[in-house]
Amino acid sequence: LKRTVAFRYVAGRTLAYLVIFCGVLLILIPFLWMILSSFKTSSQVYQIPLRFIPNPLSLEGYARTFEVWNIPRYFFNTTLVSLCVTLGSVLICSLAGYAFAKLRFPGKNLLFYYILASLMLPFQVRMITTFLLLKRLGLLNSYTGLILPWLATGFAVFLMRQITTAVPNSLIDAARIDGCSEPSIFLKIIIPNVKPGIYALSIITFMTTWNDMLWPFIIVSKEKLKTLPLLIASIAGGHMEITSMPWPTRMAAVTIVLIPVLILYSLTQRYIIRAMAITSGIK
Amino acid sequence: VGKFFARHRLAESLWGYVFVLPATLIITLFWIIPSIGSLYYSLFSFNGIKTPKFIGLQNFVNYFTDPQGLNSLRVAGYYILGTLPAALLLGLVLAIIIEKKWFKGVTFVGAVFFIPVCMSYVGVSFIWKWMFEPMAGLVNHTLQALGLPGQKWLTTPGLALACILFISVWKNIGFFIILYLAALRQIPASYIESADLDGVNELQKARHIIWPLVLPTTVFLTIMSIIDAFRVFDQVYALTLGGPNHSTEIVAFYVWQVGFLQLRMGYASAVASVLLLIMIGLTFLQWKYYTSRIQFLD
Repeated sequence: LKRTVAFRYVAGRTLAYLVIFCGVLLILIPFLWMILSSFKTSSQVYQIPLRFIPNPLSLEGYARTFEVWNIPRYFFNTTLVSLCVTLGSVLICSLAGYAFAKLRFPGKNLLFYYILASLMLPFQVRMITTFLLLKRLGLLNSYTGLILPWLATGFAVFLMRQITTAVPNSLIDAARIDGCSEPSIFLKIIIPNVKPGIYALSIITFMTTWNDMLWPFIIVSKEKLKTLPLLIASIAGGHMEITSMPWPTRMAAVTIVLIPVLILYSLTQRYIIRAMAITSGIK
Repeated sequence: VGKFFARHRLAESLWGYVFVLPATLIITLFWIIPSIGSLYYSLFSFNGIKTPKFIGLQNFVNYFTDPQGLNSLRVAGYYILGTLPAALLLGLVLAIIIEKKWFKGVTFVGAVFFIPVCMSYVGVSFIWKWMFEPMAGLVNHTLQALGLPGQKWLTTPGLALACILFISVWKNIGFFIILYLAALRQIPASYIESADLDGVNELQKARHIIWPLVLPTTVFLTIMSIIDAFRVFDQVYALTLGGPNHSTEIVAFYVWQVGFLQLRMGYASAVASVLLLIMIGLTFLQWKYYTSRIQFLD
């Protein structure tokens, strides 16, 4: 009997490790395959039998990618838009969050419910009409158009309000008695006390904006305003000359887009995972 | 003294309005007005350029009688049925395994599964497009090495949708694992220990102790995934462009297609309005749950 228990114990753990190992492989192999393929020549990828390691190593795909797309410009646009949206929306939403959590003014609850209602309106529902609105405002193909609509979300206001509520009232009252104005209370008392929330919101906002394809896809058609997800979109469904490029070139392009994210993620993954957990309402 | 407080209250109210003003303006302009606009334009025939022509509820009639219109909702239904149970089950099982005391490398494994979560949908979808490529893709190479026939994954109707479902689970599984891990860590160790003393096996433990205790997380993930199904666009654009034979034409992609490619913006607004009604119901559910959940922060 003892032996079967011991056997089941070992078998159970081995099986568990095996399952996890396969899972990890399944996650990593596509990325590895992407990178390896990006260094092959057009004929190498169709070679039979399949060879994993490119031999000889070819930089053809990368050279072609830098020829076809203005890669630094794509990076610049994506970074600029993501930074502006992140800074702007964190500021705007934590201000609103503070007002909703701690200040008293007539109509506060009504206004808060109004903002909460916007949680029911994902972009896909507003896609057509937001486009028409931007067109009327003359903001198609502009940085303003890329940034402005995302400077506040119901979700961020709600999150910052919940987090600000936890700041003790006594701190705020003490500052008021010292004669602090509301803006300086916000800067000196609130901000330092809601830092974890601000970091989490910044990370999530930055990531979402960086990865967002649909919004720039709809309002940007000029090459010099395009962001990185649009680069991949153009390989998937753009002009024939781009969609018919050989696979190594396409994979080189995707690698160039994804590798910075991969590096950034590996450096900051603990914070990112924590941020995801905080914004999902779990400690 | 009374005067001081009165003035103070006035200042507080004024600052309150100033602080909420930017957020309120942006949400009104880019969230509320366009949504009302969708409802409005849904009653018109409109190509985006000419003057809209009022046609009553004709767009809705068209949507619900057009086989392709209903198809877009059906694909969203398949998406939910095909991804949600798989992701919940896999997420929970993997979380239970890596949460075990004897398991080495929780952090590493969690971090690996989370990589795709941080990537753009269009990016990871495109990698998988290459994996599924019929001639030289790794998936068919692997099948052939095992003596199985390769498939034309993305150009066979049923298979194309299956691939999109698979990629979604693959991309989001890390998120499910992280949330389940957080939920598992809330379970008091004594519950599990006393079950162990009673000689309860893993399956019974999972079914009778863990499952009920992580139910709130399951509910959250379920509602969130259902909402996500109505937002799917990037994967379909990168992988199949709605084909073959409309089999992956999911509802948000359909809105884009009829609105921007066929310039039937009134009709597209009607589809968006249907989506809006579904969203209102779902988000209400989610919000009720979310507020009960986040109260620990208060």
